Amino acid sequence: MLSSFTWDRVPVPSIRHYSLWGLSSQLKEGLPTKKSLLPLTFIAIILAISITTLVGAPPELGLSTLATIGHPVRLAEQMTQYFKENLSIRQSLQNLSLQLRLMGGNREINGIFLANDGLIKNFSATTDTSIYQKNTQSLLEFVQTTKTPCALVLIPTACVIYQDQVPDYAPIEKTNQKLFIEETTKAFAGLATGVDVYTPLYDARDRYLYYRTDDNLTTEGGFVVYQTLAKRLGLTPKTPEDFALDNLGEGYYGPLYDQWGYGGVKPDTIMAWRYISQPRAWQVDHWLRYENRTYYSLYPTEAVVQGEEINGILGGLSPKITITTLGSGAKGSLLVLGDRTTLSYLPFLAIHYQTITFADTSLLTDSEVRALNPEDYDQVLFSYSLDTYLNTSEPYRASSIGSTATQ
Amino acid sequence: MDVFSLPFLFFFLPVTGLVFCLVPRRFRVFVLFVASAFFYAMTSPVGLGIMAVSVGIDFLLARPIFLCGKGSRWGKAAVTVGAAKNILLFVTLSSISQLDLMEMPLGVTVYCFTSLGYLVDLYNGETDPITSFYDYGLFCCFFGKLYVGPIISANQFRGQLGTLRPSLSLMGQGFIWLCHGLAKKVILADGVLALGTQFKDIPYQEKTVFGVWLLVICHLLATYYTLSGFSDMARGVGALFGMELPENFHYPLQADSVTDFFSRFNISANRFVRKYVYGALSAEDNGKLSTTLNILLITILMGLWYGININYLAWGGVLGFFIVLETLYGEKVLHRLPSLVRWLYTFVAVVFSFAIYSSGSISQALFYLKTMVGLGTSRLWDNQVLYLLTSNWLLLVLCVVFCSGFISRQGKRLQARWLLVSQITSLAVNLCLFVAVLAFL
Repeated sequence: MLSSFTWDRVPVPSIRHYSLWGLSSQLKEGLPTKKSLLPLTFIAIILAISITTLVGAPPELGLSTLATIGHPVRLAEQMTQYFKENLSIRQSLQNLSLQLRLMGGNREINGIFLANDGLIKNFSATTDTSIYQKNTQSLLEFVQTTKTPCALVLIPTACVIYQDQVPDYAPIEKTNQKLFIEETTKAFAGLATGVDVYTPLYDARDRYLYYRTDDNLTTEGGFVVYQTLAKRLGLTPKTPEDFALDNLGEGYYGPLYDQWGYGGVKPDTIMAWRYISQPRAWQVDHWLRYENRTYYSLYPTEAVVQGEEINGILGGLSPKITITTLGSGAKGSLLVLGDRTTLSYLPFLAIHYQTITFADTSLLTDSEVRALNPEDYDQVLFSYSLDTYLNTSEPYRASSIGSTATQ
Repeated sequence: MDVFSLPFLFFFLPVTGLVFCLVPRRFRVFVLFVASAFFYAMTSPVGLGIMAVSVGIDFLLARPIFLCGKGSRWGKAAVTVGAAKNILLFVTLSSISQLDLMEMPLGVTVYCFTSLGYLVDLYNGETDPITSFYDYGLFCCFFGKLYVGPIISANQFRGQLGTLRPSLSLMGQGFIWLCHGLAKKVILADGVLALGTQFKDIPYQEKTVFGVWLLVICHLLATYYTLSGFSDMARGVGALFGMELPENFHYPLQADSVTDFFSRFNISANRFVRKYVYGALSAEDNGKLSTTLNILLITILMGLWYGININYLAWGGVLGFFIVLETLYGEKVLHRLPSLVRWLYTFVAVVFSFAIYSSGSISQALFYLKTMVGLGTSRLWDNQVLYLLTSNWLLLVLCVVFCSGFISRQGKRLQARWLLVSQITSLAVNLCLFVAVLAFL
């Protein structure tokens, strides 16, 4: 029985051992010289990379570094970090890594798709539907109890508007954003003005609606949202001819770019849409809890910093921003509770209101949110990206404005 | 610090290599011993302490075992103590790591069973004691082979100690093995494991037949490339310092029977179990029952080699079942079948066994097996499976191509016909591979 059951079916090859130090016949024949090309090349490459790394970015040998010698695991971690950050050919290797992954068919890294022109975040909602239900229920309760007219706008993310650019079969339809927006808008019918901006954004998908390196609407995308929103709020939206476009900066890399980590994507351009049809002046006040800032333009160029050109829109994101139209020309007040996507179209709404107060509840404490009184305003607008609405409780927190009870 | 890390490649290896080349021959073992201890300390200082105590005890037990000889009461007692200590240490640390109380220290399996084999060989008079602690420490704990071995015997190791010297031709082969090992681990194993995890993350109710097959195949490929990658790295690093370590994986996925697969998969562990368990039990094949039990014993122990876990035990049992069938009833049938059919049968059997190996529990394994035969779901595939396939097609193609010996055979043919061209091609290919590995590190 055992003879038919053998384990030794694998020959183990042996290696002929050439000596470097001895004068063996193989050395005389010259065979090892050709065979030494490979090891010498590898040795040269390893030494070259090691030396250029150490010379190019000498490691800090201070007391704290020397102290880690007593902690070998920490020393190993520091060495790994040092080589990852300072390897002399790091940038080339990073590009090569990206090219190899793309060649292999992979166009999604770290949850971000590489689209034709830029980066698109792979959005998927949490499977916990209770967050969505809590947000919707609390907002419904709010609009039923408050006397101030309310509106709700949910902004779809880039991956569904630019769905032609995401890889084939990418499971973006797992979260049907169009259906979510329609269902939510219907739920508020008769109680608040629900604004569906999915269709106008989708119809304009060939335009520069979302940033290439940021999961946020551009000012052009904001204009598309504004035109639909303004009509639903009973305003007469302005046309593109009422604006002059101004380039605030062409070197903006948003948070998606850092998350992507591989480079190879063009930076974004931040465009200002300056209202020129009628003379207007605005004051934009930023409340930052321990300091305040004031700008006298909707697109203050003094706020533009290299690498953060997006701060040129209203001076950037703050917990509370108040936009006041100076002089006559607009009336009414608007309270907007939303996230950073709201800033893309707020400058357009500012043309129509005397005062707009924007509050980002994720940057405010519960008591600061409750201190906002909807009865001080003519209109309340809840404006969130679908990512925020489905995955966070910020809409639920926003529904507590004007409330005296602690939640 | 791991063997597949930047500090190892660009700091530890060059520094160790330089010191190794510069010191007189009599200090080379000591240099490698210190380097191994330093390497281990940078991975797990606690593990270093455990290893030092365990190896120290075995070193002290060796001389009395040798002096008392086979058959003596004290010799038997000493070898039993040594064997029990090593097995207990392995089982305890493996169980603790399965309960997530502590990570399994690196190299426990390797140094425990290397020592165990050495003590048994000493007792049986098959080898002489290693008198130098540094020699013994290096024998058990050489840093290159701490991950998965190979497990070598004292006789295999002893003969090389006296001739440890840097050799350019051995270094050349060493760099090739190191490159191949790094590529298998960093590019193929990690990539296909990440893909398998994505298939695993698909909710149960959305799993499809094709999706579960791909999940299991990905885990099979990840296991193979991880283990064989570490083995190749061990051979490569050993060769850089003049050591010859045996091959541990010989293209198991191109086997044409489960028996053949088993003989090609973790060869040194396989031989260890056969020699020290099968031989120690004086097992004889006197009939179908004893053959069945012997085969199942070996395959189950091989399963437990990877951890004290019911899934690994079941995996070994399933493979043993197929080997028993082939041995007792199937050999004549298998020989009549075309080679493609034999390979297909083997592949399917191995994949089914890995459905058990790669799942977190027996119930999950049963779910996978049910779904693979179409009982758990009616859907063959969906967009998510197609998306993961299309996003990783090149990785899967490379995994399939390199798990066969096709490229290696073509390389040998080229070497036989045009030596210079083959050497230049080998240099270019391995350099490109090395650069690709660095891109993924």
